Amino acid sequence: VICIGGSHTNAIALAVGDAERNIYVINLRNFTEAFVRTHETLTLRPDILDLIRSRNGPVFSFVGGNRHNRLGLVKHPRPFDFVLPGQPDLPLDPNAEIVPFDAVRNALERESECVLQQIWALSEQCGGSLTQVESPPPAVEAKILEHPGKSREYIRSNGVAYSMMRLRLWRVYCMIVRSFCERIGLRYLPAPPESMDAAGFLLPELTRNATHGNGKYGALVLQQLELAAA
Amino acid sequence: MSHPYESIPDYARWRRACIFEVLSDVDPVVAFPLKITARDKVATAGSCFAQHISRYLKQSGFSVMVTEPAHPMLNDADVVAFNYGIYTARYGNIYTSRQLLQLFQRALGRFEPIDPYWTNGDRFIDPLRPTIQPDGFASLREYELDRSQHMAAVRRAIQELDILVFTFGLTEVWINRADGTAYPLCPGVCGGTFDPQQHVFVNLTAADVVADMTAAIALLREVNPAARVILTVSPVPLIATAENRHVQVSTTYSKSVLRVTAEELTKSLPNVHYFPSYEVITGNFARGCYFADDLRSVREEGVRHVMSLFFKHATDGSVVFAQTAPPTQSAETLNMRFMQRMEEVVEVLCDEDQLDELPRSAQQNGPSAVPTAGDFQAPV
Repeated sequence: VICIGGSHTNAIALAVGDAERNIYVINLRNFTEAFVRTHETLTLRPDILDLIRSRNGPVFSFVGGNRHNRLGLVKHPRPFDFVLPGQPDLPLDPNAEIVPFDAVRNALERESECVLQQIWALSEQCGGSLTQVESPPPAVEAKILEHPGKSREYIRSNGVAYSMMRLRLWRVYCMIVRSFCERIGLRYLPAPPESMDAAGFLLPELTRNATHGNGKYGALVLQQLELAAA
Repeated sequence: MSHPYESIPDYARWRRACIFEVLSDVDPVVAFPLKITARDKVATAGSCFAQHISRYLKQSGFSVMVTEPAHPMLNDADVVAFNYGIYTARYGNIYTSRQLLQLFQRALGRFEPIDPYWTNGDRFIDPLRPTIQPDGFASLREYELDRSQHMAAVRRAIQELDILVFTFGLTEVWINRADGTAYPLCPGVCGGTFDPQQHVFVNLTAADVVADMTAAIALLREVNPAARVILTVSPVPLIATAENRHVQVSTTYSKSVLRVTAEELTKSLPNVHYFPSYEVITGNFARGCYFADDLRSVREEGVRHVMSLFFKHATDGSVVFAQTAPPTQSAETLNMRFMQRMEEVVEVLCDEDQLDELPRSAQQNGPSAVPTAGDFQAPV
């Protein structure tokens, strides 16, 4: 099993640990310019492609797992919320303005464009074996606030965005990526249902930091990958 | 023998007022009594020609009220597609006096239309703003919340405006027989279903329009006694008529009624003024050249002529007539800063995830900018 992507591959690496398993993780964040743009085309760097080809296994893409967080992790200076068409009765931020769903989706599509291009590049170069793995569900607010890193002050002073709005934003983002994958004939692997609480947030015990799953989360994903690869 | 025409000013004589080598020298505005200052909050509404007025006022730096602005996450194309910022609130084109009156009544809780929404597949359409966003609303709840937000924005506009610029468009209107709801577009055209039992065509008379506008202005002044009003008539002909006659004949009727009404209102109500943009575009002196090839749309030169006169006569000169858009607005800048900052935050979060407690196998290679050492691998 080959896992390729950004920081979300760390959950897999953590899950694998030092055990001897047939898992190969390529973290693109460790490369400068993993994708090369020539004119209108985006391609994976040849040496990374060689790494993939040398393993000759099913490829799971974790690219683009955090794009939705740009718009909705921290409270926007003009707080917004929106109604999710499939679940219109979910609670809404009482202090936010309502933005039409279509406009939010369009904004997220623009945000996701580079991710979709990367998925497309991977699918073109990795052949038909590529599966896109869903981004982890959003963390509960407490886990975001306890984040110890450099952004702690920024997040605390601005406030975490309204939780249900973050959940909606993640769902819309997943919907965009999923429908793109379906359009180009890629398999899409949703986040493990058992990783979520009743509302749909990532269980605190599976949360590594504000936006990432931990090794336990990785282990659940890994089970899915191995099942899908079998 | 002496007579009254001996001493009339040049602007009252056709030859001296309308025959000019340079068309933009024609100036039919005489002693316009209202002078808008840069501090005045100007609200705009009306038929499509009102969009031009709104645009020029905004780009020249007037305090054009927008009480329902687009969220800054929307890009320019979506701001336009979702009809934000075109007028003071997101009401779209208001073609008739009846629509304006009912908008004010709804905003103040005095009127509730009998058919609150239409459906189009799984989408919800606002019968009173059927084209306000490209595919209607994605859920009933979204529609209801948006409508309530919109009504609050209209209420705020009418409570706080200093000057309302309203452009009359049409007299032809489709009405719901049951409660008199005036639709901006005939049901069935852009949503809803036309039902002759339910929907009736009305061509407003001058008396109707005077009554509507008198009631609308009374409502406006009930909550905002100092509000002043500038009326204009759109020069854009009817795109189609529901009367069984030639569309040009219907256009003449509509525009005549609206022009007469504007005149009557300026005489019967205080602080209501008429600005002759209609005459600038349609006057014989223009020889029709202000209309585009479809003989309906107004060319930019025509709009520019109108607005240069508007700035000359209806403003106090504190703001310069500008033909180009102002630099990026503060809300967009705010959003840009937020998105840039969030890009950094998310990047840092991802970097930190790299650095924290990775398994030994990963740490051996570690995060690196060196491509060949870039991948880490669990033991096979």
